[in-house]
Amino acid sequence: MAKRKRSEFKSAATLTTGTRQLVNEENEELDREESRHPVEYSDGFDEDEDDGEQSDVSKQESDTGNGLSAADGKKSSKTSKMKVKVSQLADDLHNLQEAVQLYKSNIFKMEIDELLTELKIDEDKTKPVDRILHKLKESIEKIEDSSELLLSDAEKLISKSGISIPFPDPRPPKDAQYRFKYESPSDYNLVGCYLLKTMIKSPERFGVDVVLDMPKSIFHEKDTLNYRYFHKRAFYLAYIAAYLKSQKELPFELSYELLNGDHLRPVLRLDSLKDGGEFDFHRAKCYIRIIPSIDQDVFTLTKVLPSRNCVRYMQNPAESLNPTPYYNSSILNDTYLFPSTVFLHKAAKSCDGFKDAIKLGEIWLRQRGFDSSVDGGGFGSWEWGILMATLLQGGGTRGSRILSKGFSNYQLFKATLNYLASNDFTETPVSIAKEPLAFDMGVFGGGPVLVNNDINFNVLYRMSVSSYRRLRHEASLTVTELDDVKGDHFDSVFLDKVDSLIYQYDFAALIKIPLSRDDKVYREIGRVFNPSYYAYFASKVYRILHRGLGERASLISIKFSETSKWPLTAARPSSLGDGTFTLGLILDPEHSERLIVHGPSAEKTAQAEEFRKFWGKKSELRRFKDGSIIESVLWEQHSERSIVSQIIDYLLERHFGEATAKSMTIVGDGLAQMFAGDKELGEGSAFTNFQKNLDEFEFLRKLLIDINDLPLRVSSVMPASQALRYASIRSPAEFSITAVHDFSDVVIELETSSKWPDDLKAVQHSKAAFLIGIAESIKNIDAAILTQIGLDRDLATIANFSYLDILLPSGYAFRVRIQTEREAIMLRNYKPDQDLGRRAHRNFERNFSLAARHTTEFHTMCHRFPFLSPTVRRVKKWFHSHYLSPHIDDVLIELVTLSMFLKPFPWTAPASATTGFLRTLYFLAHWDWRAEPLILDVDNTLTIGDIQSIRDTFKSLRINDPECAQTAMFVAVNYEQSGTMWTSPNPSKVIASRITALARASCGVLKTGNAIVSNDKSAAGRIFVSHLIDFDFIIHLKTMNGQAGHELSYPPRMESLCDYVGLYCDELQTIFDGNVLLFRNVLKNDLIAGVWDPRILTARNWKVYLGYSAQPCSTEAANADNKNVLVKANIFAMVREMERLGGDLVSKVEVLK
Amino acid sequence: MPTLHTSKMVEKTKPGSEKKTKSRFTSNTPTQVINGYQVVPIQLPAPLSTIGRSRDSEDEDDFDQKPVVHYLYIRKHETPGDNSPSRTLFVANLPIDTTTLHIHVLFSTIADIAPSHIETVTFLPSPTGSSFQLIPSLSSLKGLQQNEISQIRRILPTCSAAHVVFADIKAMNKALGSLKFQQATPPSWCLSDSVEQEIEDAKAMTGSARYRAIHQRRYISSSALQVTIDNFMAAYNKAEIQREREAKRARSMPDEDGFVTVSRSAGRTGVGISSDALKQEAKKRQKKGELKDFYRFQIRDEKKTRMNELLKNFKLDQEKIRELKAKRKFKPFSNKLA
Repeated sequence: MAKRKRSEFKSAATLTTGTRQLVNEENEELDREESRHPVEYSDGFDEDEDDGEQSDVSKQESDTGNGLSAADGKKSSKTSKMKVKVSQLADDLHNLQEAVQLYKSNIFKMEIDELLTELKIDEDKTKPVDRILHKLKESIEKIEDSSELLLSDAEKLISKSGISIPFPDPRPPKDAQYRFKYESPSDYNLVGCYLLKTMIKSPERFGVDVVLDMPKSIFHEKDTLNYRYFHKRAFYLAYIAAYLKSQKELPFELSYELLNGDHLRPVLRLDSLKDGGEFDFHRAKCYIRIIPSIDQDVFTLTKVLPSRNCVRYMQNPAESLNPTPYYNSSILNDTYLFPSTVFLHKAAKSCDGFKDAIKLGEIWLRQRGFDSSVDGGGFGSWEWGILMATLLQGGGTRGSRILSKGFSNYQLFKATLNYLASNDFTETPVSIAKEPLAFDMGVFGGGPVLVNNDINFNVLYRMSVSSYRRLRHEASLTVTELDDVKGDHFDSVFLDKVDSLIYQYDFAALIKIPLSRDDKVYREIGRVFNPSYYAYFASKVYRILHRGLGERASLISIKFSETSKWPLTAARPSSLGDGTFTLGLILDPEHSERLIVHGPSAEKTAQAEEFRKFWGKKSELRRFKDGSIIESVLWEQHSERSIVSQIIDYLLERHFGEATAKSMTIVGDGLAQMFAGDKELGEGSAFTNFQKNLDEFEFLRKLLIDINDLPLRVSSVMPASQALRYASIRSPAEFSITAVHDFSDVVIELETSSKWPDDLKAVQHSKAAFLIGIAESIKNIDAAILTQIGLDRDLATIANFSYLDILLPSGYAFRVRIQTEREAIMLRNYKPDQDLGRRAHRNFERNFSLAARHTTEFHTMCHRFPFLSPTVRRVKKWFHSHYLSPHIDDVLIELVTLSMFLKPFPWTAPASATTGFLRTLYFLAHWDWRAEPLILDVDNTLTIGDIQSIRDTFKSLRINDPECAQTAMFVAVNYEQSGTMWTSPNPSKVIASRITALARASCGVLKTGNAIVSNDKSAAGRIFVSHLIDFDFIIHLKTMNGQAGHELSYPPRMESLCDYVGLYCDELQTIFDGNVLLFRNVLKNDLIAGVWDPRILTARNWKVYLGYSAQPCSTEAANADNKNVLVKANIFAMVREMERLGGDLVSKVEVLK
Repeated sequence: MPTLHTSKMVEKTKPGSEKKTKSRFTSNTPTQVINGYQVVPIQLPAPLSTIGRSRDSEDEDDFDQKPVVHYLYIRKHETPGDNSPSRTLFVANLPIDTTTLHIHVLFSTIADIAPSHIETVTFLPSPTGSSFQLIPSLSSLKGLQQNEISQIRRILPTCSAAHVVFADIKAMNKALGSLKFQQATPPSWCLSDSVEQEIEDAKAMTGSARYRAIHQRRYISSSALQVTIDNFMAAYNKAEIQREREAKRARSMPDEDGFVTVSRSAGRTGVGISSDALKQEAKKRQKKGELKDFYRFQIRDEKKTRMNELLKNFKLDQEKIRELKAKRKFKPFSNKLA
């Protein structure tokens, strides 16, 4: 049957130029036909496009959906069509409702359309290719047959042309008795993406594949054995290469290449010369591949079933009959090159969206680092296409179809992904063959299997277990994301580069691959199963690590790259890669840092023996609390080395030798070590320090609640400080209160009472009186607890002015403020000065109710994501290091970092602090805050309506203020949906742009020169250094007493708590309000840097309240009253004023600009 | 208090110089005038950080060693509508650390006017400057112990202005007259002639001393705070009672036409019941009365609005796509971080 189809097809395919038109016409015809037919649906599949809710009207809905998708292709008439559609819908409220849903996904559809247009290859540019293919065909037909040659003669003949035969490894034996011969190909066909027109525009060139059928006459029945087929094939290819090389009228750059990285199957690659001649096709962004293949009748196909042995490699005949699935599949793959194209073509003809779905699949795969080659994971657009075409025929329960012909491109895409995610091809093969599999799944060593009626071999034979696991992992991530109706996920599904060693993994490393010639096992047996040594080695490492890491790692990705091209003249290089592979792990934060590996019980001797063999001397018998005695391995907590990296290090050394283990360089190691050495971040015990502080907070809560000698009792005590939500850079330590921020803020509420005054000032005074009362009571309860009343601001204000510092005898300090219920309303409705009231209300929310709410929520999040706390502390360190302290609210940093954990797609939530840190930088570098709000949903309770209304808020904010003068960044979270509480007025637009620029620079520094993969601390440290040259002036400060750990005493002397620099900086900012931006690092307090508002530096007319100190632009004083003298800012005088105000705090001032 | 000392000293040291008509520094070159303001350059003193720094390290680029000139803008103050001759000068663009004493010294230096001839110096609130609440003001704190009060110099926002009122018109004219001619060297902005005194003052009034004082002001004794609060609350309660009484009276007093306005007694909304909640409840009640989707026209209108909404959204989507396209968004392989 296949044969008949083939001839039918060939007539079209042989004339390449004509073919495409023909195919297109056929397709259009089909389009029309299809739209008339009712759409078929498979059972069990949810064809609803975007949302999982299957309504009772889904059938109808999908009808409209497909109607719309049919309109996809005809863009010109789209708008009008839509209008017509809408007016029809207006008749029926029911339809209208469905359309709303469609419209919601409409933007997604439009985006896909736009993307596909963008990826379209310009047909004009590929025109020369068709001509060249014709010419090539003519030319190859002219090649004369050779005589039957022995190996030595064959080599001699080819080497005459100065080229070598690309024999696979092992080469034919010297005494090989079989003969090599060239005869004109029995067929000449165009296959692959160029014929199907499924290639996409990308920086890489695509291959135009020409398949030459080698005639049956040159092969012998037994040629399937011991590489003979591949040897003859190599000769055949070299013969053509020699001929084409001699043809001067066909000027191409010729080279050998491995077909999809398959070491057994070299092909001839023709690249265009940029000579501008008749055969110049470099503008087509492609190259031509000449692929020798065979027809299905050349060999008996049952002999090359995956379960058969075709390489007799061992002396012992019994052992030598192990199946050789890779080898066999390589032969079969050559057999099915043309039939698979026919298969895809048929599918494309029957299903409109098929080709576009292939393109979507290819983009998705490429962004995730997948392609058809061995080093690309062995799953590319071709495999994707075969899978889709297979699913169009069946694949469901009881043979039902997974995909329907009426699906739109996106539906096909999503359903295929869904299938990938929810089925394990290694357990149950994808097979729609009528007969059961002719071989045992196991022969592929745990790899995936995909076969069908038309293509009767395992399409996925090049896929390793590791790459298949990665594919499934990516597929299920994407499916989950697409199922989430709330998010906008187009970018992260199609546009973002997902495959990234730096950002994608929680642990990533580069490891050297030893030389293949030193690996005896590989040379004897291994290469039969895995001809690429890199692939062989990688799979071995995968097996060891998979076992060793167990549930610590949820994904182990091992990647290597082989450049598969080499010149005709050279012998095949022994190694085609750079000698390293990359290891990427996605860790399970729950398990990754566990100290013990549990083995089998000592009684199970065989297993225990096996365990000991695997772990070597590290394995010991241990008795556990429950009384069991089992083999186990114990690891030690180490501040610089995570448990996972210790395990990998140990296993590499044990199983692959010291050299391999030593060759490992861990990505971000320098950064991690720098953090580990940072005394503020104080690794290791950090979490426990926070815990102690929290315990003391609990003590305080009880203490306050128990106070009963006041008119009102304390009803609730709420934490409102970074230190109480695991988010302060310095973890709170006992007896080390050196600065104001070592006090943990606490907000308390009193019982409700009707006796509170109606006047805000009176309320604030009463609150202060209550604090005095609380202080008294505490003194009476325990004289060891020290208290001190403090004032935040002037008493004549409507806002809260009082607080109470409480120093516990345990060495922790808290700062308590009172909030009253009615305060918020009273502030908001403050009549005498509404603006003042609004501002005070905002401050009240920020410092009281929301601070408490955020602290509670973030505390919870830190428990949900174990690596959130260390990540956020590192990110804060970065912000402060760049002197941004006065401009950014800690809560903003916390929310941005949290979003990395809540919305990690296309990646997974970080399970290492370094990765979390890098991702946050990456996000900051790419966040287009002008156009995109950041919306966080901490407990998944925001509804679509909520999100929409937040987006609307953002939109109207931007419409009212397109220059972002009031609000630059917009961050909304469940408990703060206005989005501006922590982002307005700071960071201003200037600062926000600076954050973006700094994040970009930091990402760039890490990338260039591979600073990220070295363990050099200084390279990583560079991203924490801000260049002072960016500022206009710098006020260097002296280190004052009482700063940075001077004279630790407890209770601290009040003087030593004075935040000199903070007060100084605040005062300067107030005095020169609007003229200057001041920068400082609260962690170091080494300097205050300033940037003038550029507007004040330009000359302008003098007026009295100019707002800054001004000087005349010219000094020519003579003329009596020169009205035209302009003035400009007297920056020297202003800097001097600042310096003089700083007095003994200042050590030196530099004016840079 | 250093400031008080210096002020006396200045008065003492300059009694005789008053008689001279022109300061010895004044040249014959007229000063620059901009929009009717005399531009008066003054030299800002060297910062504290240069003191004790070795002169050897002096290099051209060292900002701290450079003399820095500040410009005052001065003119006669005339109140519109007031025809009586003014004896007030309007001084604009004052340095941030200006005190009355600085003004005294300035006029004494350039015009030999004794401080006694200057009646008052009033600093004007800047119309743009925000009020600075770093320091709890002393006036609002009652019952402080003497040792709790430390001097914190008031710092002006940049570009502040002041009215300098002279004792008589003669003195003002003299001052204005000498401002019209440039000084040979800009007068120094200082509190006294003595450099040591200046340094002492700077040490006491700026830098760590200043901020320590501010910090201390924030921590007052509970007793002092209690007194302040008690005073405030007493006054508040008194005022409250007064107000209530007046309100009561107003309720029982007939107005001009002899009517008594009936009003609710001065009850308060209970704590915890916000007006918002009340409003919402009211809204709810209102809603109950209405029936939706009852009349045909309602359904029809509803349909119409929804359809328009759809069309609008569709157009918005198209617009968005156009925008994104303009931003060259749909390029999956142009790695943004390349």
